[in-house]
Amino acid sequence: MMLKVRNLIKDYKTGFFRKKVRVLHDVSFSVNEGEIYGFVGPNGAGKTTTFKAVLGFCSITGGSIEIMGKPLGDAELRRHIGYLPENPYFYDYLTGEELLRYMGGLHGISGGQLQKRVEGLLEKVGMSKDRRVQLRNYSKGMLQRIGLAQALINDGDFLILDEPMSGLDPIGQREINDLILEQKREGKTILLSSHILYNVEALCDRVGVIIKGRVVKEGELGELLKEIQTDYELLLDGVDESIRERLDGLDITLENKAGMVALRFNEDIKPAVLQRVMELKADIVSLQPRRKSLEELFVEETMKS
Amino acid sequence: MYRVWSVAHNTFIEAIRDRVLYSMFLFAALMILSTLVFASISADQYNKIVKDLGLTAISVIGIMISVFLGMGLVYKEIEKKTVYNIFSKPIRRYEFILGKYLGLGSTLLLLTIGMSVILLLVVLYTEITHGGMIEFYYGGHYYAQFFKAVYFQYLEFLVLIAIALVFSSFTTPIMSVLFTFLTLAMGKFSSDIKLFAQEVESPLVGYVTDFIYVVIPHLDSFNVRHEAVYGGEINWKLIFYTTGYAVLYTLALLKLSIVIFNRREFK
Repeated sequence: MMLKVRNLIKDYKTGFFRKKVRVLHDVSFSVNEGEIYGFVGPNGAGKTTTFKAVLGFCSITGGSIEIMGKPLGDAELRRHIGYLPENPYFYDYLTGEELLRYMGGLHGISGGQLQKRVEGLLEKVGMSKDRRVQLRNYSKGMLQRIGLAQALINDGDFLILDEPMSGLDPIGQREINDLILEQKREGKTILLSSHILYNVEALCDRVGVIIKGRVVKEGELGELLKEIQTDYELLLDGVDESIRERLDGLDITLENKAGMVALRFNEDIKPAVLQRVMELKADIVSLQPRRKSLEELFVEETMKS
Repeated sequence: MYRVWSVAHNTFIEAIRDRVLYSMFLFAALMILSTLVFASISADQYNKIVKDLGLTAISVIGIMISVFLGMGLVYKEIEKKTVYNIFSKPIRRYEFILGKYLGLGSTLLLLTIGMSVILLLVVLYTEITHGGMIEFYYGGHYYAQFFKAVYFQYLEFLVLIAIALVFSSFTTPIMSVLFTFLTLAMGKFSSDIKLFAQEVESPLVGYVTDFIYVVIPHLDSFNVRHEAVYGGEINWKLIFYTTGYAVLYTLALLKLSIVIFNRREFK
């Protein structure tokens, strides 16, 4: 196991009277080797605080964090970690190449090895052309790409990416998505947070939903979605909306769809609906389970909390 | 060690790409050059005027640069959240503090050398135009005094950077400047504080004053301009003790910065 977080609690003291505010209540989740784990939650849910605790930027009030089976606090562990902060600010007086050299130097990489890695990463993130441009002249997408490159400078086994798609246009998101998937293919483990849920859905093997400092759901994405995957859509031709009256007593929703009628209903009443429709001799065009998206799961859990 | 060097190198690059630094250096150069005007109206005291005012210019500008670059040394990294990039790498906090200090120390070294070269050229120019380099032929002693004064001045800058670093590791740049200048002011009058401690009648006030005297940096010990200009003695014993004091005081301040910085949380 790459990361194991158990019952993590974090309190901050704020204001003049140092009032204690609990931002993480009881966060538990784990990230397996070689997987992409998505950490999703609304703003202020505690995603970034959890990442900061994992990286040792702040002390923890309670619980435990283990990376590669070792307790938190060992600076040498960070040799294996690559981190992209949310809205990364880098030294705007440096060029892209200088930033990578600096970040490599902090890993203790030097000389020919550093040069080779810098060249390779600039190529990989498509920044070779702008390597000598100062970061103050980079666009948001370029900053995100150079940010990802600095996270990869040590060729670590574990990548922690905080909102890697934040502020990017669809093409930029696609590029970062591809880079992340490439890292997975190379055997890296990735923990990422994102607000762009369809990206999480497309990338992640497992997901944890954090709301108000608590992980309310965790598991394989397919399994989590299956839990709430209970809706069906039946598309009928040759009938009109008056069919609703004939299906009286059944909990369905009805919608006009390209001149046809779409009925939506829960799995429990599927046999009853089908039987009724057969009796009416309606022309069945299709019957499809309506797979709920991560977004719906996310909204559902947020509403519950 | 390579990690310390990386932080130092980046701090140096940041400083030398800062336009404020160039403005201050230009101002120092103008101050040093303006001593020629005073020299021209001072009859036979021309060389003393040039050296005295020139060394004072180096001191004033060097102090300003030390304080103003030192004030945000650590704070800026926390405020702008660059610490997240730094400390996700296997660098220890003490390595970061040492790197920051060495980076700014190198910047000040370069600036001190630059300002001294300008002053030296001005001194040589005035001697050639006024006395045909008579003083130059007195040989090493005259110029050795000059370089010793510059060396002492640089030691003061090193102590000041360390003071600014301590404040920068726990407070805002404005407060850091305020505290550093306050410490600077006390340090400049440290011998007066010692005198006061010896003469005060109340034992309690005496102890407190003694304590303040021990704790504050004795910055007036780094001022040997009078000796350099008017021919006083700056012997090797003085150089040894003053260097030792600067090194020990700086090490203590760096240790304090590290202790404070180790306790900081990056929110």
